[in-house]
Amino acid sequence: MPALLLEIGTEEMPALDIPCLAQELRATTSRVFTQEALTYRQIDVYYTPRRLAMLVCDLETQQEERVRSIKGPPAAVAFDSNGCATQAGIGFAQNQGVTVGELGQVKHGDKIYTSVKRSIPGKETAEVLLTILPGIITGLHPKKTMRWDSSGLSFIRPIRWLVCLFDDKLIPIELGSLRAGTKSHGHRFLEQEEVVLDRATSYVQALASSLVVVDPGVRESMVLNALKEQADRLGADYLVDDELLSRIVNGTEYPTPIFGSIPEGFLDLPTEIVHATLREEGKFVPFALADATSPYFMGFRDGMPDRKGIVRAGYEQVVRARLRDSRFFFDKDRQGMLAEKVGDLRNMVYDARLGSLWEKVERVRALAGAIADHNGDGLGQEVDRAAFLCKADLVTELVQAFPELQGIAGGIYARLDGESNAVADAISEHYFPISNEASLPKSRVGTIVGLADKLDTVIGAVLVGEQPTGSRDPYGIRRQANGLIRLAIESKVDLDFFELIERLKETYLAIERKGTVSDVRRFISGRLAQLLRQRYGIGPDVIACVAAVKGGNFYDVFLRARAVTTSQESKEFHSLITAFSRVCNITKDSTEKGFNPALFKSEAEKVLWREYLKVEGSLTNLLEKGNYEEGIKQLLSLKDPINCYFEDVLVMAKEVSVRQNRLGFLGALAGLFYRIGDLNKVITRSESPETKPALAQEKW
Amino acid sequence: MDFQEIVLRLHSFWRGRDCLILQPYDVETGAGTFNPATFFGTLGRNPWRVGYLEPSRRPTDGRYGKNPIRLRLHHQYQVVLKPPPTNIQGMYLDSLKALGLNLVEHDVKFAEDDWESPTLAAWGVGWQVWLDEMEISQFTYFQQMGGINLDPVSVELTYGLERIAMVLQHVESAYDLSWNDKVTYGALWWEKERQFSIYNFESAVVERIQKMFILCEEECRTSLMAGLVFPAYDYALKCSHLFNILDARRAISITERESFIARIRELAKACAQGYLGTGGIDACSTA
Repeated sequence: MPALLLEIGTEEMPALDIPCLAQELRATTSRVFTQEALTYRQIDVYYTPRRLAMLVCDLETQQEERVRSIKGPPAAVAFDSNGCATQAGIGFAQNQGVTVGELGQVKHGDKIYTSVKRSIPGKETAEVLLTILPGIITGLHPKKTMRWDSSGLSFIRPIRWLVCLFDDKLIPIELGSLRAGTKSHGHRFLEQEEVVLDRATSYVQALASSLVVVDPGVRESMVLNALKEQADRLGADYLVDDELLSRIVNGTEYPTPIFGSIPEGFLDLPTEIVHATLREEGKFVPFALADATSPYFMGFRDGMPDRKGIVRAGYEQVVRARLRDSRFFFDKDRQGMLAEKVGDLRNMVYDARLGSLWEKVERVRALAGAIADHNGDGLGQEVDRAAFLCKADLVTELVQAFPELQGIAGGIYARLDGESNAVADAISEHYFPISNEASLPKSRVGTIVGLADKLDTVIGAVLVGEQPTGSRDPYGIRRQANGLIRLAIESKVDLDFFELIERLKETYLAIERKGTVSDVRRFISGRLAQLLRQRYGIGPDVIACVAAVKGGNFYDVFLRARAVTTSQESKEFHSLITAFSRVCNITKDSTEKGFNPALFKSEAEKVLWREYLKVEGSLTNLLEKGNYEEGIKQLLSLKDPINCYFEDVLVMAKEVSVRQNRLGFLGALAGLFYRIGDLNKVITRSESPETKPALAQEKW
Repeated sequence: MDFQEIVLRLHSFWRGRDCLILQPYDVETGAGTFNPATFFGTLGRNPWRVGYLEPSRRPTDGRYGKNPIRLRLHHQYQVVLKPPPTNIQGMYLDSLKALGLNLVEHDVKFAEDDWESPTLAAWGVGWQVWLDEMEISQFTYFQQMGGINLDPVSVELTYGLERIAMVLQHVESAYDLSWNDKVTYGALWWEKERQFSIYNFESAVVERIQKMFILCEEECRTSLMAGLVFPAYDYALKCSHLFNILDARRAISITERESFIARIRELAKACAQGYLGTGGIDACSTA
């Protein structure tokens, strides 16, 4: 079966944007081909910095026949009440060359119209391609576009050639001043750069023999294999993240490893600084040894092996120059203590509305101090010191040169200044997690400062009205809030953050507000619900149940959610909820708080009272330890006494004092359940979701 | 190949491709882009091809002569081609070959680097060119200049001559470069770097520079009102340089910074509009 090749030859496209553009090319083509009734088996996309290509495999040579419906006058106009054609109906049929009997109907909006079905015979695929392919190319949406000539075309970088072959037949599509041909280009630095393609399917092979690996997957293996082999030889690890890998893989047409080393004179620099210097601008991959700074790195040249070692010498010269710069920054930073740089934060604006970084640090200190009061394990002093120092590295030369070293640089300088390990580690870690999946701070002090920093960022952004909307999230506070919540849950921080915010709201008094503290709570609650669902697999009903009380203690919410989720499976739990609902229903309008057990009359009342006392005591104990599963089991023992109570006792007694006393007691009983959450919101296994619509969804 | 030979070869290469060979501008500039031959030359529809050397002053990059590659004044070779020829990348690579580089033996990459100058209200799309991962040139398709959308667009090639010379001469410090066979780059420039670093970072009198800024700004505006865009632009350039000195002196707070930049940008935009509005446009044409 025939295949279609389209190659868009460009000047070098930005490495990180190419994969996305290739996926868009595939999706657009698939959509347009379906619209145009062009049948194919699959679309393979290929790309390098200089080309974006696709191979549409098993493309039928003939477009399929399509049926088009032509809309006539409304049925009510074309036919009278007896179903006979009117003048309008006859006229439409005549115009379309059909008999009145052949007229069909089509619904448009809520009106019915007469219609005629026309079949459109399929054209030759080659002919269709000629008209639709240019539109597919111009319909792509790169992140940033440019113009390069007077054709009016715009694209991510100038398009310089087009190849379009349907099997062995040239499809001479036109785009701006270009017309597609059969000539592609091999590697830029080959003597014979031109590659003439004789058929679509020979594309990958033909370019490979001109030193262009068009399949990014193959280039990635070339890069990773080279790194693995070298790492094995050195007994080291290679340090490559997705971004660096993509820059290398999509910044070269034929990646060839160049192994280099750093002169010993630079190896006394902290390892992180050496690595950041190597990785700068996506240039080199560092190797890491377990116990020392490794002097080795690998770069990838675009082209043939470097037989004379010229490229290696060049790479090493660049690395030396950069390291010399890094050393300059490091030495300059070391001329003063980190603590002395804190004052310079006064001159760095954090946000025009939120003040300088100094002011941010002051707020972080206040928050961190408050967190440490509750959860500091007596580390209050270290927490305050770390919070005081945590942003000071932002004014260092090193962080200005390598922004990704923020925190890490501060940790290095703090240690060299003789700060305690707890303080230095906390500074290094306080930005963690740096992505949704990245690791959390290991130290307690780092956790607390990290929580405070993230909390301040979120509060500040929401208060000045920078809540995220759609893809707009100028402060990245979705990620900040996720980090905050993950940190609270996974590092077991038993603290009500909403209470904390309430307590420290004076800290934010000076800020001109567009949002409120309750906006902050709402925003964080929304993130909590989403994280519970997506990361921890909690159902929306359970989330609504547990977040109804103490929703600001994320760790506690999580524990309760997990316990309810586990209990949810048991039959007994279902009847417990039924019993609880009865208690809630009868007390929902009551404001009675107190009660006097001496006034209890019936046996069922007294039994439930005794049971209540028992459960209350042990529940308090269990919940303090966070043992919610056991707590729920305790509540289960109230199920039968509650049911008996409702059989025997008339709560709404005529006598006011009796009624008030009973309502007061049931209110207290409901309170026990509320320590877990609002169980009314839970859908149990034996219930169908229809009987309890997903309240949770609306609530959140 | 010594430093002056590099300049001569680039002159000769680009003269051979229909470029006017011009001279550095005699008002301080931070880059070849600020030279009126580029600022005005990229505006309007006239074809325009020029090549020139531009000593580029960046006060904050000064290192008292102590850093081997970071310089308060470095030499750019600037080429502007309007409209850009379709084989412009190949032309550029040929110019490197003309400097004696065997590109088959080196690693050459065009790495994404979009250029923007907030003071000139200009931006473009392009690359840094890396030779064995060392940045040696900036390659930009200007899309806007002086706030005006360019049609046709221009391409700008900026060669960092010290970097290229260091590769060609196999030295690791700009000061070790040979200017010719007797005189080193260091002999010519080191003392100047030292003195200007002290001046820019420590000794320039902030109050006076601030006054000079205001005077130049006024002079620019008055000239614009008189329809004299070229004199006006000279004063806009002076404002830009004075701003850079104030910046090096750390005399500009972050909030002031934005407004300083905006003031210079307004001058540049007014110059661009004035240029297109007057008959000055034929001063930049290679037709």
